[in-house]
Amino acid sequence: MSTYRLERRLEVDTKKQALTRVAGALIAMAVAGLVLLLTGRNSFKILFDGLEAIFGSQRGLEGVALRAIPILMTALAVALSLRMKIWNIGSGGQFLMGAFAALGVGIHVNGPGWLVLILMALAALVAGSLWILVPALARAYWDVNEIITTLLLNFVAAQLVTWASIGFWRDTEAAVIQSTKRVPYRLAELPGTDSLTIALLVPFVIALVLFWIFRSTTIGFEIDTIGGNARAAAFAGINVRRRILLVMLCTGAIAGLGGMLQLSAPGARQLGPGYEAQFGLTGFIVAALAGGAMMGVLVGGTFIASMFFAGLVLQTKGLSVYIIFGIYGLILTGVALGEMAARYRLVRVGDAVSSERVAS
Amino acid sequence: MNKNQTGGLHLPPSASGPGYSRRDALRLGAIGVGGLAIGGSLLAACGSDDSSTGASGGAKESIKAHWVYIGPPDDQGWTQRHHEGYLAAVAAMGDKMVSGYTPNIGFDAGTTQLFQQLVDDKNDIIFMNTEYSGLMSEVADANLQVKWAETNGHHFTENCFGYYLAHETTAYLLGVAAAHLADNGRIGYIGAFPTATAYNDVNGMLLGARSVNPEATVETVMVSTFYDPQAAAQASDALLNNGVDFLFGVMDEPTFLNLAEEAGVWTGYWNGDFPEQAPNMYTAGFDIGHGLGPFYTQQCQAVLNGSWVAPSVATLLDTPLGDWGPKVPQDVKDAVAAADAALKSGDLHVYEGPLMDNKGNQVLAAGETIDSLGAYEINWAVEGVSGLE
Repeated sequence: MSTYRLERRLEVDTKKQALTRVAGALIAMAVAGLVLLLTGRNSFKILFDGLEAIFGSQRGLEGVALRAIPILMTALAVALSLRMKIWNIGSGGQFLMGAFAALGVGIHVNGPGWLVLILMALAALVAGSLWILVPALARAYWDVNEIITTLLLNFVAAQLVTWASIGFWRDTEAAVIQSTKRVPYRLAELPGTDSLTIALLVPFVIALVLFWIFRSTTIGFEIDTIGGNARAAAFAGINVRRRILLVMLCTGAIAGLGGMLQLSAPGARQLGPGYEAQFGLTGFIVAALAGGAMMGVLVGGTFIASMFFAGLVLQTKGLSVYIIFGIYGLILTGVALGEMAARYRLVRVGDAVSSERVAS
Repeated sequence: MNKNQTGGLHLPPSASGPGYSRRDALRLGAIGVGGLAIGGSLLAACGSDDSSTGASGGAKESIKAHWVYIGPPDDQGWTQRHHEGYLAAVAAMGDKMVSGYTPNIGFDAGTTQLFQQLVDDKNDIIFMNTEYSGLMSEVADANLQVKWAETNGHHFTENCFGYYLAHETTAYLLGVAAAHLADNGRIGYIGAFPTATAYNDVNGMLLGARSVNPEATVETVMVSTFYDPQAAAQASDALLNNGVDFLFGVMDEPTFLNLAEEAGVWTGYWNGDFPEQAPNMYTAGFDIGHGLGPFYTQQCQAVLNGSWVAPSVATLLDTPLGDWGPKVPQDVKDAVAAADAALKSGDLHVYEGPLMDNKGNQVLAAGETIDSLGAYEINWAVEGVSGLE
C-alpha cells in the first residue's frame, strides 16, 4: 500500500518543460472548448475559424507577423533583464519613448530615406535607454526596487505622448481625434509580402545575438551569474553595478527600437492614444513564461501574436470579446501551470530515497 | 437582448442554421480536410473564395455590411443607440443583406488589421461609430470597391465619407435648461478629445446658458477617451467637488449621470433618453438615435440599388433634444421650447457675431453666423469656457 506526493525536482529538464507547456496550452484549449460546447457554441467551428484566420491566407500570416514584431521586441527586452533577475516592467514606456524620439526625427529631418530611418533608429535606441536610466542608476547604486520605478515611468511616457498628440506635434489636417503628424519614411518592404517590412527581421537578429551572448561570451556568463547570486558574483570579482547599468540600458534600448519599428506598421504611422496597445504588458507575459530563454521568447511571442490575431478575426465573426479574453487567459494559465508542472514529480511515499536524489 | 450582447452576425432568414450558413459549413469542411494535410492553408483559401458580387457599380442581389463599434452594444449610451440603428437597418433590409458588427474596437494598429479583415470578408459597406481616421484611411484608399461611412469622419474620397449629428443647436437648448436649473451658473463638461464635437458642446451649452444667465461659465475636463467609466468617474468627482451646478459630458456611458444624481446636481446626456440613470436630476439628452436607423437603411439600400455615391461634405443628421426627465419644472421646458422655435425659424443662431473666443480673439464679427457644416469644422471655444483652448 502506498500513497503519492509531489516532490520538487532538483534539476528541471528544459526539454521536458517545453513539452509540459505545450501540454498545458492544449489542456487549457480543451477546457475552453468544453465550456464553449456546454454553453451552446460550436467550439470546433471557432477553432477552425481561428486556424483559418491564421493559416488560411497570406494576409493571415502577415497579420500574425505584424502583431508579433512589437511583442517580440518588448519581450526580448524583458527577457534580457530577467537573466539578471531584474524586472523591467517599463518596456511599454520605453517602447513609447523610442517611438516618440523616432517620430520627432522622422517629421523634422529631411533627407534620403535610408539615412533618416537610421537616425530614427538611433534616436529610438537612445530614448529607450534614457527612459530607464534613472531606474538603472537607482537600482545599481542605491538598490532601489526597479519594479516600481520602471512601472511608474510608463504613465509619464503615456502622458508625454498624449501631450504631443494634442499639442506640439498634432496633425491638424487629417486627424479628428488626437494624433501626431505621420512619419513620411517607412522601412523597406519585405519582398513578396503586402504589408511587412524588414522590421520583421530585427527581433530575430536580436534574439540570435542575445542567444549567442549568453551561450558563448564571458559577459553573458557574468550576467547569468549575477542573476543566480549577485553577492557571490561580486565576490568572484564581477563589477555588478556596471553590469546592472549595462543590462538595464540595453533592455531599454531594445524596447525603444521596437517603438521605432512599429512606426512602419500599417495604421501606426503616427502616435496616438492606442500606439502602445499593451505591448509592454504582453511582452512581459511572454518573457516571464519563457523564463528568459531567447528562443522561448520567439516561440511564445509568435504564439501569443497568433492568438491575438485569430481573436480579432473571430470577433468580426460574432464571437464576444469577453469570451476571447477568457480563452486567452485560460491558455496563458495553462502554459504557466505547465511550466510549474515540470518542476515537480510524483513520488511514492515510503521509498526511502528517490532515484533522482541518488543520481544527483 | 442576450444575443445582442454577445453576438455579431446577422444572417438573412434564408441562411441555414442558427450559428452558421451553408457556406460556412463548406468552408469548415475544406479546412478540416486541409488541416489533416499540411497546414491546410491552400484548400481553406480556395474553399472560402465565394460571394463575389461583381463590380462596385450596378444593382446587386444582396449586400454585405459591417458595423465597427467603439464600445459594447449595451453601453446604455452611444453604441447602444447606434446598435438600435443597426437593428433597424437589418430589419428593413431583410434577406437582402448579410450583416455583422464588431464591438469594443479601440484606437490601435490592430484596428487597421480589423478593417483589412472586413475587406477580405468582402463587405460592401462598413460603418464606424467613431472616428478611426488614420487607422482606417490607408485601408479605405487601397480598397475602392468597399464603401466607408465614418461617424465624425473627415476623410472624403470617392468611397469614403463622414456622417455625424448636428448637435450645436441641441447643446444650446440644453444650455438654456442648465442655466435655469444651475443656481450658480457653473456648468461642468467632461470631454474626450479637443475636436469640433467638444467645441460645439461647450460653445452651444455656454451660449445657450448665457442667453439666460450672462454670468454662466463652462468648466471642462478632458479625459482622452470616450469609453472609460473610471476616467469619467474621476473627472466627475473633480468637477462636482469644484462646485459645478450642472454636469454634462461626451462620455459614451452614463457613469457621470449616476454621480451627478448622488451629488444632487442636475445633469444631461449626449446619448439621450436614459432618465433612469439619474432619476431625480436628469434633464434631457441629445436624441442621437433619431436619424441613425433611417440613415443606415438608406445607405444600405443605395448600395443595393447601385446608386451609392460618396457625399463630398459631411452628412449631418438631425438631432433634437430628447424627452425631459420626470423632475424638470414646466417653466424650464417652456423656455427651451421658445428657444427651439426661435432657432428653427432662423430668428436665432447658435453662433452669431460679435463673438470672442477664450483666448481673446474676435472669431465672428457683428452679424456673422456659422451654420451646421461650418460648426462641423470649428476649432475654438467661446469666451467663458475654461479647460479647453
